[in-house]
Amino acid sequence: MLLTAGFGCWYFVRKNQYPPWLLKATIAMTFSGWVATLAGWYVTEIGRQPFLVSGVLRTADAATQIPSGNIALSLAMYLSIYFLLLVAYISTLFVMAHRAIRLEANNLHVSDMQTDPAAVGGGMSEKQFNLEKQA
Amino acid sequence: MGLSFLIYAILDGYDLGVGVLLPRDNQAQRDSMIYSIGPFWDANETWLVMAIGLLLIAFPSAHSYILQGLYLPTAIMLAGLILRGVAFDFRTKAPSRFKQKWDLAFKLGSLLATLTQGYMLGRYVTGFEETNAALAFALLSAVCVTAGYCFIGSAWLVMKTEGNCRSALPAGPDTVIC
Repeated sequence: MLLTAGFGCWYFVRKNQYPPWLLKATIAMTFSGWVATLAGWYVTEIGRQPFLVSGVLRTADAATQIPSGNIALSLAMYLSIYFLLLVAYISTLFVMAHRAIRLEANNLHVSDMQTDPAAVGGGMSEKQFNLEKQA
Repeated sequence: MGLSFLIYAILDGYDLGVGVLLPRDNQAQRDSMIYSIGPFWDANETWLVMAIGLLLIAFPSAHSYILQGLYLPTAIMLAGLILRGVAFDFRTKAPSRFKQKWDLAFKLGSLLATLTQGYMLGRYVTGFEETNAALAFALLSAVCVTAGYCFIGSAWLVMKTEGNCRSALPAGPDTVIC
């Protein structure tokens, strides 16, 4: 992740442009920060077993007495919600990126959207809306 | 702690109520209703976090007893609140053909949150009794809390909106909910 970021900066300073292969590599790195965070979290969680608070509280003593069926149910619920949200998030990211491309192709700028009262509070500007209808 | 629960019920009550009251057939009304709570709902929900945090710090054994008794409703309420918070952001950024779906998610999330909050209140008041009467009371409490939230939600809309959105309100929560 750091290498890609550093190399991308260096390349842009030298050549003043982003070639397609570098942009594709950046897309591929989208979840690298997330993976790094999770990996660090795994290391701390697993590394301090069998304690929940090192030397103070054992994991076995802190486990809940709620029926395990309930826990499984809520875990399944959270997992399915987060899966759906992940799909929605990624597709929305691409929609927003494509929208920006269309705005550029039509020589519109972000400032056009911001001056539009409908855009205040995250609303969709009329120009943007018309563009979507055209597409 | 009691104060934060009270403030939470009043403040988040009106924006949950507005969410439950969203009409399904009128995009412009939905927009103005959601914009009316836009700057406030997030701060309102913070009172719940503070109330639960205070419960944990001030009364740890009550905290563990209550939240173990109410584990599933709490999980469902959280799912509702997640749906609501996410739908709020996605509805303006997703393609416009999905906007109605996100609005529906906002409405359902609000409804889930109000119903489970009412149910939890009912269970708490009856001391987590497992009798049929206690469960029936909790279900009744779920409906009544939702109705109460809808009521303060409509009061908020009367204060904040004008025109069609406002004149549509006296139709009453029971006709608008479904």
